[in-house]
Amino acid sequence: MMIAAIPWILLLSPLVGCVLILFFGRASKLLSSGIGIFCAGLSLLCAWFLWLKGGVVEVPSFPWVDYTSFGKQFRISIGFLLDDLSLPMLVVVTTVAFLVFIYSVGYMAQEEGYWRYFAGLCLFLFSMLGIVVAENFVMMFLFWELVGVSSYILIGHYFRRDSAADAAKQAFTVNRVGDFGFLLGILLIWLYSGTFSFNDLKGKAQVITDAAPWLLTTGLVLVFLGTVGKSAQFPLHVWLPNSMEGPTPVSSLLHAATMVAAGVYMLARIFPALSLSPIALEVVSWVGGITCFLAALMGTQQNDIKRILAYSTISQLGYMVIGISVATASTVAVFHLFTHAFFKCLLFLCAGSVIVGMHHEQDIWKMGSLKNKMPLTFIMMGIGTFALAGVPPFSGYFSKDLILEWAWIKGTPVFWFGAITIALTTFYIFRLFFVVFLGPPRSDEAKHAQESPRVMLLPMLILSILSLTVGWPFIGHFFIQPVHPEHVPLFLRFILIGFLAVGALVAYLLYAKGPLKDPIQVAVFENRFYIDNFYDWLVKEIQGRFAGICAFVDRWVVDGFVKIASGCVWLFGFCLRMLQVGNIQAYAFYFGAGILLIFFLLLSK
Amino acid sequence: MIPFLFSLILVPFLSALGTATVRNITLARTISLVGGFTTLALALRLCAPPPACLDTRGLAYSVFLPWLPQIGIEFSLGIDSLNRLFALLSPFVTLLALLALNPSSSRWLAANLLWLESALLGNFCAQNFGTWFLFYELSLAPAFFLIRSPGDPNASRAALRFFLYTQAGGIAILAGYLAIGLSCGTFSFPELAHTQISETLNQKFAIPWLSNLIFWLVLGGLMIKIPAIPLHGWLPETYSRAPAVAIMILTGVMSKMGLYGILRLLSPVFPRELSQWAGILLWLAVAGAVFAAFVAITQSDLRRAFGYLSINHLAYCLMGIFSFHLLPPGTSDKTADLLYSGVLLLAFNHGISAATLFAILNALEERTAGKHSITDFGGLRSLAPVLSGLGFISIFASLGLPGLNGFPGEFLLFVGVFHVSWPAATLASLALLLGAFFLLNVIQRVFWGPIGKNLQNFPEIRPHELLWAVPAAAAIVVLGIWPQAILNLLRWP
Repeated sequence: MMIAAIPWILLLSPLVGCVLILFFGRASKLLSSGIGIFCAGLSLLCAWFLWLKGGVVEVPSFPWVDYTSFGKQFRISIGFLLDDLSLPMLVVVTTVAFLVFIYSVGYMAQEEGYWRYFAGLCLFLFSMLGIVVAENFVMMFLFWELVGVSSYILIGHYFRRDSAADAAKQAFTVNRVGDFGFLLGILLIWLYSGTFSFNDLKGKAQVITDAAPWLLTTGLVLVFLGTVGKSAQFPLHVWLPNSMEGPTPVSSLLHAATMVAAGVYMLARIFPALSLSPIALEVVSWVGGITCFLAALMGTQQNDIKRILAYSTISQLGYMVIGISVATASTVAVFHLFTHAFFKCLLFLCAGSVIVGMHHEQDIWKMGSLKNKMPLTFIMMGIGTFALAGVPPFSGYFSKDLILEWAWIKGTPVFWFGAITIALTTFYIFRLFFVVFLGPPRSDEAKHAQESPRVMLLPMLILSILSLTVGWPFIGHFFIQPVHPEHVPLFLRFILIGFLAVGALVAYLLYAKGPLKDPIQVAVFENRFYIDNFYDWLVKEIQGRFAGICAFVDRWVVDGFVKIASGCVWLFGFCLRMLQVGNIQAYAFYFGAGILLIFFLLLSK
Repeated sequence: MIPFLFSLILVPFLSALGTATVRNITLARTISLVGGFTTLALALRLCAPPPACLDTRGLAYSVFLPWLPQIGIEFSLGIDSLNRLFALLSPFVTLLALLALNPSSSRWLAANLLWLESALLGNFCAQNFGTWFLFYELSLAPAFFLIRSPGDPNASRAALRFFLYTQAGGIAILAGYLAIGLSCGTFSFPELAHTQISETLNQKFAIPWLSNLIFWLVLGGLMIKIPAIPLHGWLPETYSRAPAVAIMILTGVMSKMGLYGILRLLSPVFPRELSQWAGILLWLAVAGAVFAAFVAITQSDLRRAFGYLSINHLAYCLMGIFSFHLLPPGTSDKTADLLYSGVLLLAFNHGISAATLFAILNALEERTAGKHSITDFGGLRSLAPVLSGLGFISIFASLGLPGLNGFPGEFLLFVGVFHVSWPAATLASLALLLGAFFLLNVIQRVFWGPIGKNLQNFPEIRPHELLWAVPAAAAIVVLGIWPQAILNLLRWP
């Protein structure tokens, strides 16, 4: 009984926190952050408790829609699926979230809208936990959309800025495009399997695929569209870099560590069904590969510290998506999801620390020489950089190489996308690292930068430790046991390390000396392959034109018919009015003519 | 003892009379509010399980008076699973509108709101076509007066247009139903549901296409009322001219009259014709939904834009109804249930969220001397956070956000439509996307961004506005989290 309540406390405590902050948070900053941290901490404790306890927890579910009374079974419930996938995910999500909550106290200290920031963060945590524990597709979709809204609210935190409002709108709309695919996929799968539940899906998927393989494939590809939207895969990746308009801790928690990984998490959830459809796996694999490669290319030429990290996130999510498609178990991708959550969160928090130190300057070409001014941030950013690049023995090395080993075993060309991306990743992250921390200070802000307060450094420290260690087998396997492929050739490891070394070397040669501006300029990468421009054109020209045509039709054609109808009536009335001359002789004449006409008609028969 | 449904219809009517005749404005407002509250309180009785003693036709609280027994027209009211929700919706929305009414505005508006409520309740509860049509016509007069605010020639034109359109629809329905009723010898809905009307009609008049003609006449008349594209010509002008509180009722309840009419007047009577035409009608509804969403994007007048959004949502309901009839006749499988409950749930919740949107628009207009263009506002979130929060909630409810009341109905409906015709559901989801795009634009332009011109003294929500704001927001949230509350009401023993 007591234990059954814990998952509910875990899920609902951030929601309660959100409501409390909305009502009372405006009174004081301390109260808002206090409630927020308390509720996140409560969730954290529950998550760790459930994970350490292990075993099955039976949790009563709550019927959201229930049709049993109609004599037929149609029931969608809000319930929990706590297994080897969701429990460690809960632990990771709540841990990262809790640290970001604490960090926010320092980062947001001088910012406006402190209370609504924490309320939004609580709402986000609630919805994210909902996705993780969801036992069926509909519940996941419910929270999936809620996550979208909280992301929308938090990106638009500085809502007076048009760029923030635009970014928020774009994020929501682009996600909706993916979500429609997701919803249609859910419906298609439901239609033929009769179930929304993840547990039943395993058995039912086999039945569908025996009956009609293309059906399962179509359904799964549609569901995958949800991932493409939420996890910012090509071609719906455009919203993620723009979402950096939000406060940096938000970028760290939502748009790097947890929310964007929800797409991958969902793929892991439906993995038993996914693995039955080779074509769907192929689609997933190529989308992941292209995303991973293109985003890394775009990342090499960005100048905004947060945007570089955003492209890096897209690229790493691409790795996870590849991981889902090549390995025989979803744990491989989820392992990278966990390590990435820690080191990418760390990178963003370090970037936030730099941004605060630089008085909200985000252009890396205005920074430089910060290793002396912000030594702690420098060291921790270094750990994050090594982890992202995949330098052994940092965590990224273990998880990323595992994915590539699987890709190699599978013999897919996508492997080469992933491998080359290692070089690109190393290049862009070391470029950032060298330009920001080494070289000469490139602006006054850089000269007078200051180390961040302890409340920000502490979460960064914990994350640094995790980023370093979480890949090590005896620690990482505490979270998850990824499946290792057999017979990995030794030279493969050397190839991967080779790519890493090439990227690092090029970055070192170009940037370690501290050039004042970027020595290489590639407009195509800098302009993100003009994909954003293409979408702008699509919305403005195609959608706008079509809407214009509809409005025209509405105004002139639909209304026109009415006008013609009323015109006819008027004309008829006008003709009748002509007869009403008000002259007795004329009426007598009409009368006579009428009589004559009647006689004529009668007689002529 | 006055029968329950009589009192439900009479209370608003009498309070309308009282409101209109009393001289003192405060007293008039009190009467109107008491009337609105009492009606809602009475209607809440419908939430309780129906009484054990239903009459022979399966109706609860039935009232029956002979009227023209020679041709089968009678005054008959009764509640069944279909009209139960609508009889609850109209008092709630009317009360919201009465509360949203500016206390200093004329008592004429309040009186008409109540009068309209009474007519709408009569229409929803009617169990005989004669009664139905009586209340249909009765509702036109107060609606006309509501739209035609004195002193504005454009509003008078809009009111006239509304009246002519609706009257034309009414005549079409009347003509069609006279043929039906006279050939079958009864106008009673429960009895008509059991007759083979198409055959009777065609044989009696010996015209093979007559039943189709009548079907289209009645359908056309009802589609004007909803309105459905392309018969929505009265809507843009009316929505941009009428007082916003009047539109609350028009979009919240009156549009449901058309939907309800299709379910009551057509579905049981013309199942054959409906399933024959449902394929085309479904695509017409899909096209209407997409078209209305596209037009909404281009509008800068918020009232018109919300009007087109309303058309768009009602088109989803129509999609559900027509998909229902595309199912093989006689089957009562899961999909049929899904569609039926999806349509009713969406209709009910749309009534609440659309009315709230217009109530907010009303509040905005009161503060800016009647401005309602999207470009007139900006940055309201920093000036009036609570009002903006309310706007945010109702906009997201319209957008179909899970957790708010728009989603459950939309979801059930789309599940059902998808089952019947996946291409239709897929295309219609394009409209959902466009709707979201448009609504987010509204949020950005009205509530976010830099503070608009001349808005510095924009007041925050006032205490008396909380009277409608709190119940509306509560309904939106509660019914989103707990849609089962409404689904339970669809059950009938």
